[in-house]
Amino acid sequence: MGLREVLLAVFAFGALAFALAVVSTRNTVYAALEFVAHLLCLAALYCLLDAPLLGVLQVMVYAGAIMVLFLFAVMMLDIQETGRESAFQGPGQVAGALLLAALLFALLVFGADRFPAAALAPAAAPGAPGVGADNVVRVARALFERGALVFEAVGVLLLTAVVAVMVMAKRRLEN
Amino acid sequence: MFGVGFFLALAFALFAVGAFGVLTRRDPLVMFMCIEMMFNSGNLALVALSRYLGLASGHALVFFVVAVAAAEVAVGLGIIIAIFRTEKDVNVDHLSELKG
Amino acid sequence: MNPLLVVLFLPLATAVFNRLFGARLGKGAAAGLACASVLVAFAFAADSVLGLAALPAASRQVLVHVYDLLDLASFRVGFDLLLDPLSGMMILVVTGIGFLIHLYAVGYMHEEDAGEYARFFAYVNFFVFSMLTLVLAANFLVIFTGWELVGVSSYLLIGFYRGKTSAADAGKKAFIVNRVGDFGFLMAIFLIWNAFGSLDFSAVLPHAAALSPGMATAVGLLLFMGAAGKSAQGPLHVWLPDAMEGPTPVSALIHAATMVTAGVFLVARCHAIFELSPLALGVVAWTGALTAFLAATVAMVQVDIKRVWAYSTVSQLGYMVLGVGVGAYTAGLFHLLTHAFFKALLFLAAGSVMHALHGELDMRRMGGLWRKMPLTCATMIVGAACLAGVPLTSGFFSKDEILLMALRGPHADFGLWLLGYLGAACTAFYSGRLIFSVFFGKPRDHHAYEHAHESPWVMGLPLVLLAVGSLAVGLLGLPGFLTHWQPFTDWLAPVFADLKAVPEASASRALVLGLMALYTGTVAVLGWIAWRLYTGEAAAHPADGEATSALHRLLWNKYFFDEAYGFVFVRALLGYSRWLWRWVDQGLVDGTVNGVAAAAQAAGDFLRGRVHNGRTRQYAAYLAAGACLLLGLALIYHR
Repeated sequence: MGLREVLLAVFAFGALAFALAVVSTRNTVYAALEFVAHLLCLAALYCLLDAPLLGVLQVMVYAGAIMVLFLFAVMMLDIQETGRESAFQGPGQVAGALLLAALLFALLVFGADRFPAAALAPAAAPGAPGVGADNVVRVARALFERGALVFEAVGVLLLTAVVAVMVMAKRRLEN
Repeated sequence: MFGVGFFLALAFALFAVGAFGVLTRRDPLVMFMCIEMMFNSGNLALVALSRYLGLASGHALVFFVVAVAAAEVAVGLGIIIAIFRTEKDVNVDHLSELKG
Repeated sequence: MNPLLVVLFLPLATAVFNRLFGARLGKGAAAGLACASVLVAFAFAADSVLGLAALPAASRQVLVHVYDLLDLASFRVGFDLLLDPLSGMMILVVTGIGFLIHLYAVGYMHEEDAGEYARFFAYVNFFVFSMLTLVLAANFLVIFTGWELVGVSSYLLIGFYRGKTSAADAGKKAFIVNRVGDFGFLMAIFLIWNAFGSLDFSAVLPHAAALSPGMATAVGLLLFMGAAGKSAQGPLHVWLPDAMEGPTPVSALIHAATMVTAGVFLVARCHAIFELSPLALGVVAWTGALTAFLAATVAMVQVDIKRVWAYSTVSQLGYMVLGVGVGAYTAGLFHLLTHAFFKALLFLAAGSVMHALHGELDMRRMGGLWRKMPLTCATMIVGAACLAGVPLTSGFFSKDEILLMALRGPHADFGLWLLGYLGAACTAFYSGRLIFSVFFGKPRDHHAYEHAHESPWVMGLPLVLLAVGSLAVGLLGLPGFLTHWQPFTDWLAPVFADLKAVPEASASRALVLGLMALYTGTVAVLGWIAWRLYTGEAAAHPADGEATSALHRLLWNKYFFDEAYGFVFVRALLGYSRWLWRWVDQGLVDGTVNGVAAAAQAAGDFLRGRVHNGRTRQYAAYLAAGACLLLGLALIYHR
């Protein structure tokens, strides 16, 4: 078991553990911080899975920008008031949710198992998306050649979101 | 041990944890984080399969998911703050004004 | 370019132009354009017909292919035009008389504002185009297209005074009654297509003998159903008298001279089919004879002068149909030609009277008008003489020929002749009655009389030209024993070359002369009776609603046709519709629709309280459960 395997095991365990922590922590600020840790673990996993670009992106966009937004929101809301109640509903609801989540997990696993393995012929050389600069080039090709239209559409979506947020913020100022 | 199956199982587990969080938590911010967690589980599955199959298109897809998630977070948080401004309360169980 | 295309499409072009821009051009330009286009069309038509006449008699057929309407593998129909002696005669009538009526309308419609004026001329030009399409058609699809187009233009023109409810109703009535006939025509076309696999006249009519007797009868009767609708033969005649709601030039052009003769034209065109079926021909002949007689009796008691001419038109169309029904196609078409002249003349003269009396049409309020409007009076007398069959006028020769053929022709029957003869006697009476009531005797309405005036020259000129034409056209078809110069019969001979030679010899000269003497005497006697009855101060006109006898009431109410239709069709249809509305539509259809909606609403109300409760996390649970369900189904049904 080499260094890579050790790191993989550590970060996989970390991702799962922090995810559970997010779900079970009552305090929203702590939950947010645990979520950042969860995201960083995932970023590390991406890097180990030959996706360094996505790893960097994960750190910058998710752990950086999006989580800052979250913390902003936490600050603007009065968390003391919401935090006072228990994080979970009654035991019946928790049991029901647990059942649903477990069912979902089981079905997904069975589904993946039933999926025809032959159709997913593994690449001749594992890690073929390339490492380092090669990876960036290949992702860029996938993005801007076959995915050009989707790329544009995502741009429009982001613009729409920006405008929507602006409208909401403006109305608040008027009020 | 760390084949594609391992990472898929991890992704499914994260997905289930996220779903559980959405179903049980009442704080809309935490619900949001759980939704993001479910997004990320999908991303993880994509990255793992991309490596397994030697395809870069999975990475491109992750890129798009991240962009959409960013947009969603911006709008979602905006809505949550707007609700809080009018209701002074963000417990989702107390919000049923829009039930029609 | 073939001159026929100019004949056909020039009126259409001016119609479209006048409808779009005529109102802005002003009255003079719109009317000038319309008249000029028909005059040019007439010139080109005359040129075409002269070109046709230059050909040897046997090959007088010109086929013009305009474009392919339909070109499927097994079914090909072109927009084809056929110029032969029959259609040549018709295009001359349509454009020639059409031009004179256009000219008349310039004066008659003068009081309309520019927009209505242009609309009128656009519609009339469109009618000319439609009628030319009908008569020039070289296959059944094109003739049906023209057939429907004239129906549309007739509808538009009957309802031209769109502010008047009665005009709008009359237009609808004409259109709907014609639908009944058109249904038969369409069925006939389907049968023809089924039997021959083609709709071209050239592929159907020369080979008509291939039809089985039953099929020939069916096709013939269905074709005649269409013809009866368009030519106002009983019992489908009810629309024509009401069609007089349209402007008078329209009555003259469409509902007297041209469109209503389309049925006669159709039977003549398809004579090869009718000749195969004695039954179909018999139905045609008897329908014509009965219509000729019954409509003439109705005309004897009507007091509205346009309505008298309307029933007279129905009656005269009956003579034409009788003519073609007894196999005397040439005689029937000759009557079509003469009638086109004198009936157009009579309508225009009636319009002139109406114009002079500011819309008055009741002959009981006229009288002595000859001093005020001598030209109208003189021309109308010429027309009425032709209609009544005064010897040596065109109507005398043409009607005489038809009656002779009804008595001695290939499909003769004494009953047919008798009905025709009695109808002719009635015709003489009502013609005299109208002329004497309107123009002679003493004025019965002095106010109207004082204000009466002769019409302007633009209305007078067509009257004179038509009067001259009415007299002159008789020369084309003088009786066979007078002269061997028979231009009309000779001209049409190629069209009817397939018929067995008409046994002219079977009618001896003594019989012909005797019949002529009989007609002359009848006309003289009945004319004299009308003169005695209707020139006095207390003319023998009963007032409205006052019936002197049961017979008079029957005639005054036009044999109660409208009432019978109202009872049988309208009331029954309304009852049935009401039943459908109440039980099927409101009960079944609406009940189903409302029931579904109510059930959905009840289910929604029920679910809203339980499912749609506004709890976000519960919605999320539904979402997760749905995802589980879909995944589970995918797993179960995968492979």
